Amino acid sequence: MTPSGVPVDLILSKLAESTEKTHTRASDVLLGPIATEIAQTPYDVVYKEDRVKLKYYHPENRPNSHVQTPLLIIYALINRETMLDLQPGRSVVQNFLDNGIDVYMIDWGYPSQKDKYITLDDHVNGYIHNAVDTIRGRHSVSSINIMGICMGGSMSVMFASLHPDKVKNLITTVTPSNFDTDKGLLHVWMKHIDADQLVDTYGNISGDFMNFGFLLLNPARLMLDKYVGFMENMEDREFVENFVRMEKWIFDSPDVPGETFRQFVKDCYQKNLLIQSRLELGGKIVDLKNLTMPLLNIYGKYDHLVPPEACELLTSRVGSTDTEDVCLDTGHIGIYVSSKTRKEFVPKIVKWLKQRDAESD
Amino acid sequence: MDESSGKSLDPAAWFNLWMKSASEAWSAMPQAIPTGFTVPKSEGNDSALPKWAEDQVLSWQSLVSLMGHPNTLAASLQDISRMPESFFSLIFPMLTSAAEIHQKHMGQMGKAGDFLSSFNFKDPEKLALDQWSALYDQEFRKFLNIPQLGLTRQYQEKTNRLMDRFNLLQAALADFLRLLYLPFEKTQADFSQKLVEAAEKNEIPKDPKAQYMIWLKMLEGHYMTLFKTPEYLACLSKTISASAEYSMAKKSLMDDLLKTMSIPSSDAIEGVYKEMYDMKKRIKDLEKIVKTLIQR
Repeated sequence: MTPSGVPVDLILSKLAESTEKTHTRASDVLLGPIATEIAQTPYDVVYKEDRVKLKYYHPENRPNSHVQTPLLIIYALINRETMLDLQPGRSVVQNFLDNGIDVYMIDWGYPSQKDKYITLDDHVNGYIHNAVDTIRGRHSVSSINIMGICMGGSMSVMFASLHPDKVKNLITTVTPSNFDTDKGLLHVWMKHIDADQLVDTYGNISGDFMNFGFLLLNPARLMLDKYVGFMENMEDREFVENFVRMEKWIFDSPDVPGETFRQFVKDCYQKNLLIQSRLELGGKIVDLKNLTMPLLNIYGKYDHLVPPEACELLTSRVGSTDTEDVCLDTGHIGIYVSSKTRKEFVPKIVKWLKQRDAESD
Repeated sequence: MDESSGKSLDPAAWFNLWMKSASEAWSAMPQAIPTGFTVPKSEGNDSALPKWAEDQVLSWQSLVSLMGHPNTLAASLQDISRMPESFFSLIFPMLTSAAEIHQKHMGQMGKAGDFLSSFNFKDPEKLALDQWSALYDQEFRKFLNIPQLGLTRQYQEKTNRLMDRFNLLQAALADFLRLLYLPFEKTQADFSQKLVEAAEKNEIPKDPKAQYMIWLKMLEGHYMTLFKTPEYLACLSKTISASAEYSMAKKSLMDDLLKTMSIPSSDAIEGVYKEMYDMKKRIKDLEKIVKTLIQR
């Protein structure tokens, strides 16, 4: 047998040397104090219904040119809204506040088994509607700005269609509206899921179950390479702190109320009713032509959960003539947390809102 | 086996012998207890025994004298002597059918070899799992589906269902994990091949990180290919379904257990949750109506 010529001994000795160095320094970082708190921007809870809270972030150091219309951020029912406020200096919420926007955000809380019967209609026409009315009342305005994120964006679209008079401007970010695509694995897999069996068996769909599904979307990167990267950078305190913050956020995943999951999977992922204006909520059809307000639709070019194909059809199906698609060079989460993208994402929204604020004056 | 040893194992003969000795014991009982037996009395007391013990002795005495009466004894022993006949007429078919089931079971166990004879060693992991699933489905599963009888039949059925669903889940999980391991296997083979080719051209990357990145990209690519295959989609769906069915079977059995401990079952609690949900919804609707009326 001829030798392969692979310098295995050299490779292994290099690897051992670098590992030893890294681990010596890493112990100082891991055993010392590290700041890993998330969601530190101060807020008040101004409305509460069942498990759902409406957060109002303190508008400190408000600049002179602030946006008159308050903004409500509607996050998905999967994972938590804390992603928009991961850490001071890298917080989307803080950036909005610094740019003079009144920020409200819905905290969906942690559904328990008693919430399994709560439907998509209860979320859209109940919790979101009540939160919007609360903000309208607090600011004495007839309509507010809404920014939806992922599934929260889909629910924002539904709300804006059913209550167009209460939405001044709509921003959808990484929002799936066209589910009939095989570009994202999630879309492919969801077509093979028996939602009825899952909900009838488990009631709510566990956050851990869904997180495991998300990890399986790219196990090589999410279950292996990510932690190899951590091992390589353990001696970097800032890296460790950011990494742990992200781990805290990503595995803090509430369960999804069973009936909501059932309808979202069946009506959206499997029948693709939303984009066809055939989805029914509370006995009414969600007609996209009712979306006559300005619409800004932002999505990620490399989003593996909600690919561009799932997002980009929306602007062509709504009734509004003021629409804009923005495709950023990033993934699903990168839009909000990557330092490069945040320099484009928040300024774009602020500018877009300020322009429409000025037009309405 | 000789004739005498065959006879000694005959259950009918055994039972007759036992009943005969029991009858003789009952016949001898009246003679063993004296008929003139009286409860002893102590000084100062009417009886040396407490009242309850005195009553017990008197009851026992009455029973024995009644059993000792020739007519009663004869009638009782006649009935007892008839028992083995009726008992066996009941038991024998059950024993026979149980023996038949056992024989069939053993026969089916023997048939396991038929499956293995067609075993193909090209893809041993997949074939082993497929063969096990087919073997379980066709030969073993039916024994867990035998209709259960009697007062506890539904509990036995639920226990059998849980065992069945557990076995199905194990089979589905094993197949799912096999599929998830395939990209690693393929990556390992491809990566080794690539390294050998690079070594031959003296182009092998000396930085371990660069090699790791090549390996990782290969692994990622193989996973992406796998995840879109119909085989993976079917396996994913089957595993989730098997897990749900196992959970349902476990819940059903657990609910019965909770009922015996006076703890509300999940079904009962779900009913309460549903009522709470409906009530809250009605209250919220009424609140809105009241608000509208007040505003008017």
